[in-house]
Amino acid sequence: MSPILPRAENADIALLLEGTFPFVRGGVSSWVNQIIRAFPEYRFAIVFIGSSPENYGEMAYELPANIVHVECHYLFDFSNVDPRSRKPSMVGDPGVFKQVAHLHSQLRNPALSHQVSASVRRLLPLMCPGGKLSADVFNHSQRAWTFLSDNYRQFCTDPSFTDYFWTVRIMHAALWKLAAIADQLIPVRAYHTVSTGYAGLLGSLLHYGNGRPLLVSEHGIYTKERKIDLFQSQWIRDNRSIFERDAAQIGYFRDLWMRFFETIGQMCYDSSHEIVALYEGNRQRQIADGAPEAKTRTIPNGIQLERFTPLRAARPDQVPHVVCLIGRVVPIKDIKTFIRAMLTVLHSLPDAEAWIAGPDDEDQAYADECRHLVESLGLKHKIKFLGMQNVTTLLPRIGLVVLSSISEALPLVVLEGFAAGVPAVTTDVGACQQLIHGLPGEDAALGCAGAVVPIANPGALARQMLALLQDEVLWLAAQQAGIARVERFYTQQQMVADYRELYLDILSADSVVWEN
Amino acid sequence: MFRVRSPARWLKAIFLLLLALLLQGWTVYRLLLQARHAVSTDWVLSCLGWQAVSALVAAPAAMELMPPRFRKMRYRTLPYLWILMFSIPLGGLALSCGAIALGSLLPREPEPLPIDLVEVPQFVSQQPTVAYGRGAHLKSALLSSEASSSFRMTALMAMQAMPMRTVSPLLHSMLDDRYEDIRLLAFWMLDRREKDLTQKILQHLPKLELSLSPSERYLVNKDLAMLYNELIYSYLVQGDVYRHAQQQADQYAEQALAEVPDDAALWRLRGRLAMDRGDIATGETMLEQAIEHGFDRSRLLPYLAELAYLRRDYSEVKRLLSEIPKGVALPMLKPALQFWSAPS
Repeated sequence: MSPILPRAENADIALLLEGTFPFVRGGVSSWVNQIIRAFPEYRFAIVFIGSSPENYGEMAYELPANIVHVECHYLFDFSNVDPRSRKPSMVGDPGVFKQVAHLHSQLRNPALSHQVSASVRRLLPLMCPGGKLSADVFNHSQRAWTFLSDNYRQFCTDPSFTDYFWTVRIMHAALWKLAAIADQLIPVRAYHTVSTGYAGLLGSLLHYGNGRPLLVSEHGIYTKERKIDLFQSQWIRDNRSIFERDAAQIGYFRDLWMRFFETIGQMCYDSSHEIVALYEGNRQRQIADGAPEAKTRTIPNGIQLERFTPLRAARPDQVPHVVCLIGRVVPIKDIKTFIRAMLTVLHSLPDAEAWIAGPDDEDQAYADECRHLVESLGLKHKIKFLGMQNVTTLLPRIGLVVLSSISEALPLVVLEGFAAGVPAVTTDVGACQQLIHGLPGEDAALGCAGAVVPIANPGALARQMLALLQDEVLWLAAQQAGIARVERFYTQQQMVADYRELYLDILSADSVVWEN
Repeated sequence: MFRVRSPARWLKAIFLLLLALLLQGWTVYRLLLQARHAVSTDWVLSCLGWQAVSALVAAPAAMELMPPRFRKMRYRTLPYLWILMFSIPLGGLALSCGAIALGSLLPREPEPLPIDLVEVPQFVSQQPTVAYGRGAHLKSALLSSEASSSFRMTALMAMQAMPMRTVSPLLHSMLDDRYEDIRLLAFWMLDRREKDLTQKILQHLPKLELSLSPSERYLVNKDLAMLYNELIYSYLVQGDVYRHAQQQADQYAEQALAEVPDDAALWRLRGRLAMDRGDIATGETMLEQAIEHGFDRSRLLPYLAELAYLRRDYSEVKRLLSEIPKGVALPMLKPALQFWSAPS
């Protein structure tokens, strides 16, 4: 049975969370948990946005006491929709559809992209149930049909009107759900989203609705990740015939989805008070994606040193020939490259062992693939799947933290390993170069805390693991560099201090009053 | 009925035919009644003259009465008609008129369609100014540092339609790209193909635990051998995992051959795998087995030559390569053929 979610009349900060805390484990969820607990003086409201309820299980985190309000919304849950229900015929307001047409002309013109937010803000009050641009008007009015079919004739390069119709419908369906969520959310003093995307769009709508400030903290870059997903997705149709197809031009619907996510990302950046990235690389990416540079800043992740420092004393004298990948067993972590690398490591270091510590229930098919790979390579006794583990019991027993991910932001497990005296071998993703080699200057002078290798390269990963495990001097130097780096640059105190400043700033900000 | 251009011309033609009929009738009458002793050369010539004149009158008239579809080759038909009417007095006329009547009653031919004859197309083996496909264009776009990232992403995506063996090396090089989106997309493209093959392997493996007939067991083992080989062929595995895939492919091929020893393709596969791991003797044995079981020897000649080369038997290399017809050799093989066919 689902637990009863806390409810309140109001809160200080509403955290807008898409597909993460408190239902899904991972780096972002841990960070959210950490932030909420670091600010017991603030009362948090949680707005969880998911795709549909069956994709999420029980809560993966115990809710801190300062979470006073939780609501869960599922954007693609159509279980309550009765397909037999008849809708009254509607005409639609010509003036409103003129505004909608104007908005779409802005969307199609990159030079006008920053004006989109103002147009959406003007349309937002009309989107409530019964409004002149309600979901019913969009779905069932004559003018909506005319607008849609005219746009198809004028702009769509895919021959299928049916696919165009449903693509546009499903794409827009979330907008009215988000507008409804924004309309009924309890009053708060500030909004904080940890991604752009749908959560970011909700933040924008909330900001336009009541003028309270929006803070954006991005771990990964949502728009980039969605675009990669869309590039490789199989469900998006491309109905062009072989004669119409230009190999160097992507299909219309794929392009439409990409532009959709680019636009809602842009809106989120436009409506935000501050935009935080975890490291400089991501900040530059945000600027490239349209974030106003003046609003951007970096606040790296930090960890509670006191939790990990005592673990150093618990380490054995010799470097354990145990390498550990701490993370969920999901494709983005590229566990298979780690397993393949172990085949090479074990040829040179037969007493080595590999542990994979993390939940494996998120993508069962991928977990099965990994297990089969272990078996087929004959490594069943050398590679262990440990499931979810407490890192503090794990870290003193391992020689290296390994990260074979194809995408990361600023991974906490690397910092936790450093703090516990464990160097790391990582792929060249996110801020890993910065964590291992340090930023130019004082940071880089601390030394190299492990090694960085290209993604999906088991040979290179194995070579670097062997280099560190077989050379104690090198390993000890990496250990010292890691400890020094995390203690100097990546503590929770520093991160919390930066966020305290931000929270004080946005909580004390005046509400924006819009002039239409 | 008779089709004529106008009633006046029709009447004129009838009149001329009747005139010719009278002339020919009069000539025949004279021939039948003339006493034999009174027949002179001049008399015969005058009869022939009248016969010629009557045929000359009748032939254009008959032509005029012909259905239009028979009037096409006028300058050839007209002399034939004249010869017919001249050489068979009265009979030629009767035959011509009967044929015209019959031709008018026959069904008409269909109207000619506006179809032109075209020449049979011929394959043009070399046309250097025309670029087929966009593979080279896409590759250059991907490798260009000046191309925009979105264009490179699209170019990379377009490569999904190309065979994995062709694009795999390029995708591997993209894993090191300076732009993260390119790295990720290249990774997912490689991963998806590898995943497809791995999933198929995972689907096949449990079948071996079942009680299968020898032919079923052979098919499962053969499929597994081919799937592992595909991982190698498409450059989806590297390093130690490459060697592992080799072992697996060879092991399943061996087990399939234990059930059905005359599968030439599997012998060839084992031969190639043995060559790949540097086992020359085994490679040679396996390829010989493939030929023995019906594999086209000419297709194995490059491999046999490679084995001879590895044995340092260069005269054998030359001999084997000389057996390959130049016209059928793959382009990538041609430089080798050229080298080994050169006089030493």
